[in-house]
Order: sequence, then C-alpha cells, then structure tokens
Amino acid sequence: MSRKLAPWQALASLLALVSVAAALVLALRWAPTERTMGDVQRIFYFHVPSAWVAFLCFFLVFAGSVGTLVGGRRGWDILALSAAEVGVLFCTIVLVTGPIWARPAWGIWWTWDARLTSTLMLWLTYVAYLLLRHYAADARRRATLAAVVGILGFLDVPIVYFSIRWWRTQHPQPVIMGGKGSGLAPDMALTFLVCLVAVTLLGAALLLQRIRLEYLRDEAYAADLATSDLEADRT
Amino acid sequence: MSLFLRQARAVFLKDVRSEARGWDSLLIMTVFALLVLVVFNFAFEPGGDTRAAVAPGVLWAAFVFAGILGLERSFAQEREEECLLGLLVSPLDRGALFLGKWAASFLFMFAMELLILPVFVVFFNAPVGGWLLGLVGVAALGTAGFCAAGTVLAAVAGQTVARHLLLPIVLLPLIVPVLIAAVEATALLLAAGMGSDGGAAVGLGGWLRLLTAFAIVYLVLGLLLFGRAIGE
Amino acid sequence: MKSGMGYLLAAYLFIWVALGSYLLSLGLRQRRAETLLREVRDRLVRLAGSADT
Repeated sequence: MSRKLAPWQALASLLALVSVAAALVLALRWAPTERTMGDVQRIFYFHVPSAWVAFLCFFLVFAGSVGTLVGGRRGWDILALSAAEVGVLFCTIVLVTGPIWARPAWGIWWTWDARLTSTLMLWLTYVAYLLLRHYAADARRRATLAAVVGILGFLDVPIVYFSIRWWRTQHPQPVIMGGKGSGLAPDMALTFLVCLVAVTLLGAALLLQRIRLEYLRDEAYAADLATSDLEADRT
Repeated sequence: MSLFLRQARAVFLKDVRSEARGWDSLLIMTVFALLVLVVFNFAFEPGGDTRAAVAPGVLWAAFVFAGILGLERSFAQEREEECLLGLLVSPLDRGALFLGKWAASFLFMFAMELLILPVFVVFFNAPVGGWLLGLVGVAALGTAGFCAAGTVLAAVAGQTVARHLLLPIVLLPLIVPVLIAAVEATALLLAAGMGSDGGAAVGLGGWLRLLTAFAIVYLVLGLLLFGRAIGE
Repeated sequence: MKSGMGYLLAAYLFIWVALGSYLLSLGLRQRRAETLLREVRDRLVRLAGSADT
C-alpha cells in the first residue's frame, strides 16, 4: 500500500511545492499592504487557510473513526491517526500565528471570543485524541478506543461552538481578526485564494506522507514478528 | 419492564450495592469538592464583589473535578476484581450495561452535589431561597450529561496506561458546553435569588435546553458506542 | 510599520519551524521503519542460509 500511494504523494508534494512558492510570492510581495494594519495583515493569508485545513483534517479523523468501527479495516484507522496529526499541526499554526497577528493589529495577544476559544477547544480535543492513542495499553484495542473518541469529539464540535458563541453574546469580549465579511480587495482575494489552495495541497501532501509512513511501519512490524516466529521455530 | 431496563437496573443495583459497602467514592468526591471550594477561595481576592461573581464558576469547577474522580470508580472496581471480563462474556446488552453504570454514576455525583450545596451557600454567603431548587435542577441536568460522556470515556481511558491522567484530558474538552451552560444558568439563578434582576432569570431557558440536548445526545451516543468502547 | 514586520517574520518563521519539525519527525520515523525492515531482511537471509547447511 505504501508503494501504491507513492505516485500520489509525489504528485501532491510537487503541486504543494509549486503552489506554496507562488502563494509566498503573492502574500509577501504582490498583495497590496493593508491600510490600517500594515504588513502584519499578511499573516492572514496563511492563518485562515490553516484553520480550514485543520478542520478538514478533523473531519477526516471522524470519517476514519466511523470507518474503523463500521468496517474494521486498518486503512480507516490509518486515515484517522494521520489526519489527527496533520490537523493538530495546522491547528497549532492557527493558534500561534493568531496572537502574533493580533498583538500589533489589535493590541492584545488573546481574547476569549467565540472563534478563538472554539479553535482552542478543537486543538485540545485532538491533542487528547493523540495522547489517547499514544497511551493505549493494547495495540489491538487502540484503533477502536481512538475511534470512539474520534466520533465523540467531532460530534461535540457544533455543540461546543454554539455554547461558546452563546456564552459570548452574554458577555461580549473584543472580537479580533474580523471575519471574511470585512471585505477583501480583489487583489487580496486572489492572493487569499491561491494561499488557500497552496495550504490545502500542503496538507494533502503531509497527510499522504504520514499515511504511507504508517503502512510502512505496519509492514516492518509484521515482518519483524513473522521472522521472530521463524527464528523461534528454528531453535 | 422490558428485559433491557431490567438488565440496566440490575447493573445499577450492583454498582450501588458495592459502593454502599464503604461509600468510598462518595466520600472522596465530597471531600475533594470541598477542598476545591476552599482552594478557589484562597485563589481569589477576599473582597465581597469578586466572590459573588466567581461563585457559580467555582461551584462547577468543584463539581467537575470531583465528578471525574467519581467516574473512575465506575471501572476501577471491575478491573480489580476482573468483573469486566465476566460482564463481557455474559449476554448482557451493552446498552443496558451503559445505562446502569450511567445511572449509578449520576446518583453518586448528584448526591455529592447535594451535600456540597449547603457548604457553598455558607462559604459564599448566598441567600437561601427558591432559586436553590432551580440550582438543584440545573445540577441534575448538567450531571446527567457529564456522566453520560464520562461513563463512555472512563471505559476508554481505563484501557490506557496512564488511565487516571487520561480521563480528565479526554473528557474536559468534550464537556465544556455543560460547564458553560451550567455556570451561566447558576449565575442567572443566583442573581435572581439575590433579587438583583427583578426575580426573573432571563435566558435561563436557553441554557437549560442546551444542557438537556447535551444529555440526550451523549446518552444516545453512549448507548451506541459503549459496547465498542469496552471491547467488542 | 517597522514593528509590524517583526511580527510578520515571527509568524512565518514559526510556520516554517512547525512544518519543518513535523517533516523531521516523519523522516526520523521513516528511517526507523526502514532500518527495521533491512534488519529483518538480514535475519531472513541468515535463516535461509542456515537452512541449507
């Protein structure tokens, strides 16, 4: 399986490389400087797409978890764990670049507004997922246990989001990083689109790499086990 | 009564009977909740204003942390006496097993909350009045949802190497809606009880609906997933 | 905005560090798996060799 995915991964990596290079040029040089925030605003071009990719990955964790419980084939579990890792990576990027952008632009590092708080909860949920996988006592049970948490976690996302939003309407906090509704100049919109594609391709490339790695590890462990059996028979 | 409910009741009674042999779990939960109340009181300024504002949050922090301790009880026993294997081998409906365990966890956590409430009233100089009944209702709803999520996750975390540490890490992010809704509802009730908003708790309905929805969702998910969580 | 540039750089730097660290982690794990496979192959060769004698 690792070999079957190789051409796909190569393709994704190539596309990712090209699009990221283009995105960087557009975001850092070509796009016009924002009037009020200045150059710091350019963080936005990778901050928002990262959030999108993270969420996409977490959906894949959900899909993989359902697949694991319903079908039981290893491929679904591999999808879940790989998507969780890549998702947490991009979610971390969102949570770190956000405050770095907010501080010069709005004067504060953090605000417990609906979007930031929800993103933080998302991060915590999937970090917990990864920790659970890491500390599962029985490797055979790991997939099922993780799948249960993967399903509960994702289905909880809308509930968490709405409860936080509601909570915030009761006690309003400064909202930073005004949403897409703040209107983008056409040049900026184009840059954003290119960056969105680039980051998504990057995420896909990383995901495929992680999936291939897991298939490789499965192969290695299985071979190790089989050989140990043979050696034991021989002695 | 259907077979399903009878099985659930049997599981519930078994858990209650074994707890009744020493009341260890209830004791530990209650003492720990008390300690949390005390610790938080040191953590905040002794001034009167802050106290009233943080009271709902402190109460629910105490309930949540103590509740996590209680959830561990649910499976710690089975592991020690290897009852879990016996339960798995029996033709017991997994959903009934979940329901029974949930009911027992709910009972003990709710009992702890009823014991802590008077202490809370004293520590925070809260007024005694009808609003407390509302608070009991909120506590029941919140505890129902918390225990539903907690029962499944305690089963999951119980199968890890760092089981005591992993349950809070996995559970807390998921029950944030319960925490938010319960704290907000408590704050509204407290304000009404102190007479500061004309006696009517505006917005309470929304939070109660959220708590109810959460409880229902997690009870259903628990019924569906518990079997897989314990090893099918 | 001079100070803005510093933040911008910091953000992009972090992104590269994060991505780089993950790729590094992937690479290290890959190497470990490949090493294991190679070691297994050697053991199989030795087994096959000892079977002939």
